[in-house]
Amino acid sequence: MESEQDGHDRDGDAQLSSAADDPAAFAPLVERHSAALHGYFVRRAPGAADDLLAEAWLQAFASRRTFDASRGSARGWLFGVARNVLASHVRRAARPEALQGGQVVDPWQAVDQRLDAAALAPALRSALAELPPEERELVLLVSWEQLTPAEAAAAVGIPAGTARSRLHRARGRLRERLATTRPAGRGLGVAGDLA
Amino acid sequence: MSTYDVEETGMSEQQALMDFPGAEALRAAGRVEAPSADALARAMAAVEGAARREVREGVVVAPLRKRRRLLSVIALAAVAAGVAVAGVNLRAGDQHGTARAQSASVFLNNVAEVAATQPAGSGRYWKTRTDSMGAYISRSMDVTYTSASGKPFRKSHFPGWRLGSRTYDWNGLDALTTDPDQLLRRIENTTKASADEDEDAATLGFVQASTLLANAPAGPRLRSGVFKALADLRGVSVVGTVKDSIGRSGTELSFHGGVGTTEVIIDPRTSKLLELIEPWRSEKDQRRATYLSTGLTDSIG
Repeated sequence: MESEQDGHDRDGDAQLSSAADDPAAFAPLVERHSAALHGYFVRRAPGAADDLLAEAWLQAFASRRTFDASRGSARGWLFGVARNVLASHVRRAARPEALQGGQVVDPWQAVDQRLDAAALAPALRSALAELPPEERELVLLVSWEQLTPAEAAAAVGIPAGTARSRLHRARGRLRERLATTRPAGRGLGVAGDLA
Repeated sequence: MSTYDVEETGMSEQQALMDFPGAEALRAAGRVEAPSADALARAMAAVEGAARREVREGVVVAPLRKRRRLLSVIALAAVAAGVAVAGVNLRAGDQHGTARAQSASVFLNNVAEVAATQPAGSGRYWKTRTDSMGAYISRSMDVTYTSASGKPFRKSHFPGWRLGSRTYDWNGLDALTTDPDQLLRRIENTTKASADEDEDAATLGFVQASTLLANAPAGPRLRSGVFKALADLRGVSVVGTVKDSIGRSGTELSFHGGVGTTEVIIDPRTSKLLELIEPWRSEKDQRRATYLSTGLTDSIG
């Protein structure tokens, strides 16, 4: 539950901070954030989401003392841990022995398959594919994980201002790319007119 | 950008940044089922198990370990820069199995992200201060030592910072790769030839990297890269939360090299390396470098 109108989960920040010296204080965070973290993994590594969720929580617990509420929210920090866990999973899966098993090693493959399955407009799908990966990741963190730009910045380990700039550029690229494909006379807006 | 959009349109910042054709369809494509009860139970059980292990294990006193002589840049830099160096009785963790190595990797990767977002700062001198003296290094690698009151008392040439088999001056650090894989290769490739007499090359590599993190004018990207490199270095494990010799709280890591254990204490909230303890000439002769403050400044004293 969010305790502030700006979406900043200050209760979660306080819980994670107190868990630094009190392991028992960590459990409520698992209840609060598991659905969101599981969703993150399902979208990018659907076959391994359950395992990755448990791994993410183990790693978050082990490194909980690196969280500093003055630097960002618990939610952004947790997604940063999840991102590291996913990256480790991808590195492992990229090994030759895993490749022989036919694993999907690039999260973008899973994302693109999801977009395809959702019958997303081909123009939007290709526009996303053409975004620089660092911009696309931020777009997806904001769109799918509902992170604020500052939280998305914390998750990928960049300053908030850099994240905002990248998101701005991504929005500009998407608008430019998609404006050329939209039917004449239709307005552009938040609504999914390309769906 | 966002202020204009938010003020002009009444949108939240997220809405403003997601205002492109098809944004809603994209968001809808990301909808997923809630995790199963089994998945949630597994996650909770994993955390509860880790919490129980942590409470049960704590930090214990280790038996005497094999010591060996280590003559490295840490001593040179620590002494030259005026960092407190003293004999100390070491404390260490009990085990360094796979789980602790994984924890070290996670911890260091997280600290790497903290390091990446630290302000780079600016100034003509790289300053290192202790309770007894200070050192101010210029880009030309001239160093001025000061008393605790800030009065200069000696000038000299600073030898630089080492990583792998090379020594870097300040400009060299700026040009050094920030790629974790390349940095790891340099650390791992610290050769016997670059060590001294019976130094353990692997430990030397770890100590040099730690020293660079502790007292070199390395930028946020380089420091982040070195932390990530250490996250993949074999032999590093988490000891736990400890206080350093002057009472500051940090997370202690240990590196298990060929002939002994080196320990570092890191403040996870700032990525600062607080203290480094390494084997020296004998089992009873440990060396501790305590880093009180470091940073860029424009003035000496």
